Amino acid sequence: MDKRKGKKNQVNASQVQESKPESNANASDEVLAEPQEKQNEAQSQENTSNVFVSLKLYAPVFKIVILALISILAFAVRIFSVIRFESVIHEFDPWFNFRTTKYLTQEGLYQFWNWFDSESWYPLGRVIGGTIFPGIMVTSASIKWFADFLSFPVDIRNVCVFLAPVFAGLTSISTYFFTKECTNRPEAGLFSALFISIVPSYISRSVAGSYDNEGVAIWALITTFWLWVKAVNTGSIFWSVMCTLSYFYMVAAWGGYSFIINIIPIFVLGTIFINKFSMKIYVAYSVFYVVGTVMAMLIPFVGFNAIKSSEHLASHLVYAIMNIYVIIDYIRRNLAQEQFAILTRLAFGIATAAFGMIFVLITVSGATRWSGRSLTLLDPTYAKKYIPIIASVSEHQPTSWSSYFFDLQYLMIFIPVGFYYCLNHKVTYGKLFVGIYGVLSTYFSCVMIRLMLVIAPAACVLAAIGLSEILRKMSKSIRAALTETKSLSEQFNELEDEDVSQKKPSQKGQDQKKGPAKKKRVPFEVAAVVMAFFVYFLSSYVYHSTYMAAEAYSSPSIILASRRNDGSRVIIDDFREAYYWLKMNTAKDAKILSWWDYGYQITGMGNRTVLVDNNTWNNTHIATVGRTMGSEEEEAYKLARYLDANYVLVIFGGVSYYSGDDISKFLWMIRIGAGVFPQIKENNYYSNGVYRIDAEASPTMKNCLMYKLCYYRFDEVTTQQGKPTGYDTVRNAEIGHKGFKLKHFREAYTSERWIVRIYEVMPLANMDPKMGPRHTILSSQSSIKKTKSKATIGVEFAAKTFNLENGQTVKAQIWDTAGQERYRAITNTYYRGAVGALLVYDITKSKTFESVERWLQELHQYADAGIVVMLVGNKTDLHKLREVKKEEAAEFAAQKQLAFIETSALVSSNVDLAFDSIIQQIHQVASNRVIVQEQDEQKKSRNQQKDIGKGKGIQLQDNVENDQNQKEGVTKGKKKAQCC
Amino acid sequence: MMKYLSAASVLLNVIAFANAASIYDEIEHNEDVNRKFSLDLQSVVELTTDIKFRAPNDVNHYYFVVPRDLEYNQISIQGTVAGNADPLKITKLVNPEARLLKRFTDQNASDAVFFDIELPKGAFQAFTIKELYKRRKQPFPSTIKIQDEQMLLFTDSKYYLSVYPTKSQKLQFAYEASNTVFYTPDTTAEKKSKLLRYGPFKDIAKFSFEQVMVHYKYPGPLPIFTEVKKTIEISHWGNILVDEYYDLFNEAAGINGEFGRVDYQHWNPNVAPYAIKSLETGLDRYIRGLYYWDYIGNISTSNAHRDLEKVKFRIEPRFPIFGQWKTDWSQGYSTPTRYHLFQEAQQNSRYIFNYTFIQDFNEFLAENYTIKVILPEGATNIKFHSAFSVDQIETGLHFSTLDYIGRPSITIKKDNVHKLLHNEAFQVTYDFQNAGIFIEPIYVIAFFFVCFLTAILYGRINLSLDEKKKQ
Repeated sequence: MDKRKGKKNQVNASQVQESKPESNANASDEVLAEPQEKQNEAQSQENTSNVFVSLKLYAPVFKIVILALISILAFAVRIFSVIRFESVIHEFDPWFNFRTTKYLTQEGLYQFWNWFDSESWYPLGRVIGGTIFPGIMVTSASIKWFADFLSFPVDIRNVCVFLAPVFAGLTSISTYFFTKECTNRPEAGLFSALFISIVPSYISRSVAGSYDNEGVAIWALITTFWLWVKAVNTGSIFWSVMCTLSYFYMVAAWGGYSFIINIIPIFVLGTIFINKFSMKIYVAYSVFYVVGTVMAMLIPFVGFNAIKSSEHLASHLVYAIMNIYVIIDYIRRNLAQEQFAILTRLAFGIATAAFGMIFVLITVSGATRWSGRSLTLLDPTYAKKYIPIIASVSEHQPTSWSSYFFDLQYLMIFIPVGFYYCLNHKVTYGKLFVGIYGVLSTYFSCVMIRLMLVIAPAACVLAAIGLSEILRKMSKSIRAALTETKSLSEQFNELEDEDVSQKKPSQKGQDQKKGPAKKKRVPFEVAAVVMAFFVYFLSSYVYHSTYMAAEAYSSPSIILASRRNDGSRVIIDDFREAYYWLKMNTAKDAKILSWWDYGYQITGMGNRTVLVDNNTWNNTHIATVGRTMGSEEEEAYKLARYLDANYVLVIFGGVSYYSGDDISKFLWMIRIGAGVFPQIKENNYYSNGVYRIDAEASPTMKNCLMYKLCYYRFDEVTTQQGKPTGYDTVRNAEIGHKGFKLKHFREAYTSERWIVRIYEVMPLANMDPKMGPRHTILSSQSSIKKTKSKATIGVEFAAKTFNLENGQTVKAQIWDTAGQERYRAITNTYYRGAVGALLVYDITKSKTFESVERWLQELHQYADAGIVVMLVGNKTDLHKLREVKKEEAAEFAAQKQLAFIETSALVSSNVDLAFDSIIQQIHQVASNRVIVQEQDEQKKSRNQQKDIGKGKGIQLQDNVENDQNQKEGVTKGKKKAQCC
Repeated sequence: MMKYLSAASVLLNVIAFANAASIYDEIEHNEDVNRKFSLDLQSVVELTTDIKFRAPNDVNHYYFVVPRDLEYNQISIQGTVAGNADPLKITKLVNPEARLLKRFTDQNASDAVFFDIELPKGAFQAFTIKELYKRRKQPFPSTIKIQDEQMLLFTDSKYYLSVYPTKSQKLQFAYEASNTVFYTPDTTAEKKSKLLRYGPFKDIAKFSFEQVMVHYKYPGPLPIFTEVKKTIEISHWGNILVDEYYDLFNEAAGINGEFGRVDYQHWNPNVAPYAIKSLETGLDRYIRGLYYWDYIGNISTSNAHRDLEKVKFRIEPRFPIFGQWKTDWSQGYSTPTRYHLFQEAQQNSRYIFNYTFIQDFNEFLAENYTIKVILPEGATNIKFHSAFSVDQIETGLHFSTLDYIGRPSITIKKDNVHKLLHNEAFQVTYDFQNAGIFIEPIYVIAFFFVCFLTAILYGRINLSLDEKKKQ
């Protein structure tokens, strides 16, 4: 598959090079490899010219074919991840988008809109419909519905996985139109389409499986820009409305729409300032502003923010300024110029100042608000200072220089050239717009790595403009050299006119038509060298981008791959292993406490409720989780119980070199926790200012929950040869705290390579082992073995050894029968041979007491005559809810000649006493009987279980045909308590 | 209540007296009964009961009982008479007549399930009953540490539970008896290497019940499929798509305390042998496009390879399935029609589809089993045939690629499918006109034709009102 892709790239590369002849055909500049060959074959100038002329005829076909190939390339280069791994959703946010999309396709749009998701942000929940940008989900669902409608069913997962690559193909086409609209040069358009189809920073956000808003938003962004420039160029309401519709889609798809709603007003303002404002812009902006703002409000998540928030403020102001400008202009036109030139500028200045003041006032007074992310854009240090959650995300870090070259490669060189041609060389609205877009996005991309995505289209368009302008010059000279055999100097002087005459029909005055006759042409040799360089540059760019797509950006990050020494590939699938374990083997309503990064994955893959997730809307909640992780075990346990968490999940890479684990992120947890809970001190986790986990680590660090959960029993494994046990391969240090035990947490599961570790938060019973009513009677004695059988059998069984007062040992078998009606038939069988019974009722439920009599009857009916029965009132700990009076029960017991006791299983009061006393009684009765029975047995030559008791004491078991003495009834009452 | 019952029974007695009065009193007692439990099968326990009874006359009904608490566990009952290949007809009496109960039991007999066995004429007053039970071997203790050895507890009645008195009875347990931890002691008990034997017990009264227990070490897992769904989609273009969904549960002992990754080493076969680490099966060699995935994608731990005879397929769940844990997955493949789809000899348009009934991982019991066969669009007169009875047959419509009418499907449900009982093929026969396979290509061609036609027409028609543009 890789090979195939490689071929595709080559094909495309050559096609792109071909693009020059055809596109240049329009501009009547011809160059390049294939035509050159043809020319060589033809060997004659006339033939050559004919070839160029005939090629020109095919230019539109070439254009379409090349554009189609570029879109296919854009798609193909993004599916490395599917080929290398599988069709799977990547990373974090895509899992949420995928989950919501599935919900949308299953439940429909209205349900989706009203969806209250209780699986996230426990116990708060989240209103999904009102807190997301639904564009991507609706897009996928529509595709699926449409395909289903055509009776071509597709798996929604595959729609989601391949959505971004498909949109990348569409983006190439939009970029072509955008650039062409801006420069009126198809060759620039094709270059930009090629660039954007494989620009690494865009690939990183749109590989197959990366199902995120940006995947469709970049397409919407560029389409909006294209339609905007088109609207400005034509002044048509139709195109303005189209632009607005595209903007609406962008609003629905991505929070980055605020980029559009700011850049377009800035552009309008810019044209006013440089005095290039025209009524075309007036029409375009009026339509865009009015309709766009109204439409943006249709998205619930945006709502009235489209009016109130500071992100939109610029659009309102510019709309006002523009109108004032037009009014003034109108007045000016009707008055003497000299007077009103001054007046206009004065008024304009005052108005601007006034609006500026209002803007500042509104912002300062807080009537409108900037969101944290936007403020971070305006003040890059803001997040670090005030919003650690935003700062903690790696993609919100400032961009480093290397990532520019990494993501844009040679485009970087041509961006300045593009700027030159856009802002300084025959400026049109389109070029001006691109220039402004380039400047702004350059700034934004510096602030956050994430916004490298925004500069990518600008870089592609600018570089394409710069490149195509240079190439035009070079190709002109080369074409001249090929069509003419005259010497260079002659070419210089003579061929200009012909050139101009050729150009005239095809050019529309945008090009340098008047200039070239006087300008000197680049010498052929120089042009050839420059061309060669460009060929190298282009192929290098293609190679670099493909390499980046294949190696750097195609990892799904939930599935990891590494190579063994022999070159074979190992799939590390720990995340899915652990998440699937959660899905299959925890209670459906289990709540998982983990750092917010994994929230979306746990709900998406594990189907379990999480406390916090990647939608970081509640800082306090996240801080509480951070605090839990940073607290000592006792404290953390209290917090975990307070949060009602059942499991704690941590990511630990110390065994398998997985560096992005929770220990690495731990400081952010502390910082975020400290932001809300002052008792957490970040400094406590450092030792002498250094964050470390080895023996030198601070005591707070060594005892915090995160440390313990990550390194629990880690000291028992050797991770690297020649290193001591407990050697953390990520931090290259031996852990400093070994051999500790966990008291309140229990390892429930750890994935194969230890990347995901899941701990169960022990129920409170762990603190007080005699807790939990059901367990009480059976498990308050540590030596009891209990077996659980299926409910259909309705009986539980346990064996227990009791020491009698006289020093004898009795082994009793305890049958815990079901009290529920439907088990009556079964339990009858177990009465046979029972020698004692505990009838348990619930003192808080009089019904259970009332049914005691019935059970008693049944006992007497089926069980041995000599059965010892004890009445037990349970749950005395709930004495406030008491319904059955103690006296009442005692009286009943006396009447029926039963022993009576009240117990509390919960606090374990009297339970042992109840058991001991009934055993004593049974023993007395039974030992009398045994003598009689043994004689019988001898007759029947039945010898039973002598090996159990070894004669130490009397086997309660050895009487009766049933060979176990069943002390039943224990649960009888108990179950009843549950069912009634 | 009892009053009403007896009143009803009197009534019934009167009504039924004429034709059924003679059926009860003939069998005097069981002469000799031999019961044998095979505990070494995975997923199930097999109980073979050889019964010899005495009756003064030729009888044709024998009443066999099973304790009601085992009703859920019992998955099959089959009877044979020596020298006769036909199985005996055995009917479960869902609502046994009250007088029947009264006749055989003194007490309330609702704790027993009655089976009416019809004996052929001239039988030798001897026959054999084979029963299969599920979920009867219980891990005891029910939770163990990862390094511990697993032990199972099996309990049943020492005596043959019968409505008739029994003269002599023997009892055997076949399993790895050297692993025994404990068994109910008895003077008659005899333990061999692979066998534990009780009896003979003499003169057992009717409805005698006494618990007998076998407690033994068992290292392996106890896998059981709680649900299996098999979907087969037939295309007359030459491909059959088979998809199977499995829901796997391990009945073995649960983990006591923590799951220690340190304690459990994946590569060490001696650690926690009671956990299901992987399952293997051989698929037909000619299958193509094998996949295995679950809710979140490909199960990357599994693999398959094709050798000369089979495709060896090893599914390794993402995590080891310890006792009381579960997992699920889907797997599937394509297979050519020529091995499974045949035309009926006399009738060209009638097809027979023949396929194995049981799931691919056929070692273990499937508790809820569903087969859905999806036939091509236009198939009619669909019939299902199998060597055994099934619980439920439903027909429906299925829509997949380019189906506008819907493909007829037939869904067969059966509980408790096991290879001892159901390792056989089933057939689905249906009528199908061969020309029907061209419907879908025609759809596609028509679609493109319309597209191109529209494009051509659009290019030719000028809807503009502007005169200049027309030129």
